[in-house]
Amino acid sequence: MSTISRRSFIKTGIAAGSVMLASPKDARPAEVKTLPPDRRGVLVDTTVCIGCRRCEWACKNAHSLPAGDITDYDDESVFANKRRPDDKALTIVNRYEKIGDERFPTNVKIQCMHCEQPACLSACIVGAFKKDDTGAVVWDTDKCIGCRYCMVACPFQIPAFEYEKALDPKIMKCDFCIDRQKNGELPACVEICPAEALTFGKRSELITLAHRKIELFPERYYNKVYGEAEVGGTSWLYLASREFMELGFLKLGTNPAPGVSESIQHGIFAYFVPPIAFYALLGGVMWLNKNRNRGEE
Amino acid sequence: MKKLLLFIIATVSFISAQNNMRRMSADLNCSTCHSCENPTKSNPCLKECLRHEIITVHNSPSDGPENIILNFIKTKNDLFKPVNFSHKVHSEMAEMSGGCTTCHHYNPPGDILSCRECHENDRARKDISKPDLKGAYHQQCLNCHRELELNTECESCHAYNSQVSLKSKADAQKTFKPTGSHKTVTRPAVLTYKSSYQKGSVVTFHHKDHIDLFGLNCTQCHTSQNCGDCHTAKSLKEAKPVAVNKNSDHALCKDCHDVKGNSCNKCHAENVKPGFEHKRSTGFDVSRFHGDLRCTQCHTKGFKGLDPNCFSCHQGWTPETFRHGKTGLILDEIHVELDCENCHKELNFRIKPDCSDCHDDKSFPEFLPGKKGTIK
Repeated sequence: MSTISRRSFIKTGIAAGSVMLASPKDARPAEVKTLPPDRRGVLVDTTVCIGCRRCEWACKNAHSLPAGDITDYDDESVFANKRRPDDKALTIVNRYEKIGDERFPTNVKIQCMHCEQPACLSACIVGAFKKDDTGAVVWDTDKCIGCRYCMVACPFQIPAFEYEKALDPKIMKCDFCIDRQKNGELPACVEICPAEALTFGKRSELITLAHRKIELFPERYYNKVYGEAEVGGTSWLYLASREFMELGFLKLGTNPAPGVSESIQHGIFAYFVPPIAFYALLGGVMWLNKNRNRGEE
Repeated sequence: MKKLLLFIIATVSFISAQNNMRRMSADLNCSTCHSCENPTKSNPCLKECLRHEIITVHNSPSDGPENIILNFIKTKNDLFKPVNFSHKVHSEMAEMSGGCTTCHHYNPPGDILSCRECHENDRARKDISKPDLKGAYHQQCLNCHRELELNTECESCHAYNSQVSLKSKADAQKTFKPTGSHKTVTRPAVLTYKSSYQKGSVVTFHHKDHIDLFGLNCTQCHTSQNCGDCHTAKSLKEAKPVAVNKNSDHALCKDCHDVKGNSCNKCHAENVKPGFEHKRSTGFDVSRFHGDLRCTQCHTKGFKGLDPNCFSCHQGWTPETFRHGKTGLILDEIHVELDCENCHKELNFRIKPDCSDCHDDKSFPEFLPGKKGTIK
């Protein structure tokens, strides 16, 4: 099966081990990929979103998922529960009523945030993920081994897994409609949104636009652009009328998420401690057994 | 002949150019729209939109179109028919608040621009600083419609295209039909406010008196009122009380009341204050015969009190012209002929009339010189 000879495997192992021992400080987050300045993003203005859920329908159609009739999405009873994107719906809209003011419920669309420094990418042990030049965080299904580390690593808990499929289950998440983008089309959700609550454009321009909106209408917007700095920045950005934590957004620091996952992973293996300890333990057991066997003799 | 024609064309174009210039208001100059000194066609260096300093001129609702069919956005498989927008009705509603500017924001003086002159029809566009046309329409409409109707279903404004197969959606164009005039608003009589002023934390506001006695119009205090200020989304019929903007202290009162100096206790008290009563404050009872008068009818600018003598105001009164019945006493045939002074000594109408000039044994009010009537 393997073409690696015993000799070369040992050689590589020793070489890798000595590198690890020699430079433990390099076992920090991997180098950040320089992102193109014109990478895209989407600004979600939750004060504009009416919760029509057309984006959910368009998304399913664009990703060949069963979508049903568009008028099915007029059903507002789904807002009774807070939903999460899953393998059957890569984006969903949740509604947050404001207590004491039923006039303006806030509708929040959730999908992959397409982090600038994605934790899923960093956690993927087979290197299936990549941050595309468009800004999209995409993955190669053929490389994926289904370890689901990406699901654990994601600070927004976005990647989903087709648990119900017995054969060939896949990781599912928003891919920023990368195929449509490559064809010069807009992401399906952006295209269908009637109120243009989703503005597609260069991330840098979107940040300027978002801050300008806040400046022009300070009574309409809470003074923060979610995603501008969260976990090192995300391609999808949000504006809201109130504190983001009230709208189901997570309070995340500004440190890139891979910093956490990688330092855990690399920390464990720093100085080659676990393998050495493990082998030392095994050696100890062997030695004890050997002694006991000798005693019995 | 050719020369004459040329002259006529030149004159006409000159006049129309003059008219165009006149339509522009004086405060409009190049820098209102352009950021550089010499804008060219290739580089107009237009300022970014949402140009705050440029606002629309105000027109009357009847100046605009009655209805506009919004059929400027067309795609291959349109789910909906074009919206028939009742422009006039909407502009009438906007009269209550921001006027034309409510929708025609950032419109330079001169002609009113339609939405599509600024908002591009293409969503995949270069300039994302303002929404595309479809987004602009929906954002503008839904700002109010969300506030007023919880129902923001597409069918509120749109009719479905018949080509689209639908389960149970009615294919009927719904247009807004105003139902006559606004229901009369119930006005509160007295309102009390809590203030942080220690010497008198209660401010009593006699709302009814301010309207009936002092003659204020609703709009003098209730400025920039929006339908949604009273009507909640759940019920258009039930309205919550109109709130006035009390953000800045005394802002509403200071136009009429002195809010500086030592006049705090005119409004601030420890308990609820009674309303204004002319008799208690001045000693002159206006309730009997002067109740219909507005304060300003007597209290003109520079008013320094009135002469209590009736004739100081009512100069034309003689026994022939004065209808005594209005006072509640209809004089009989004999007494109606008499001079006022015969009974009302020194023309002082505050003291009771004196009968002693003619009668020794009669006095008022035991004996009446006529019969009682009703005070009108």
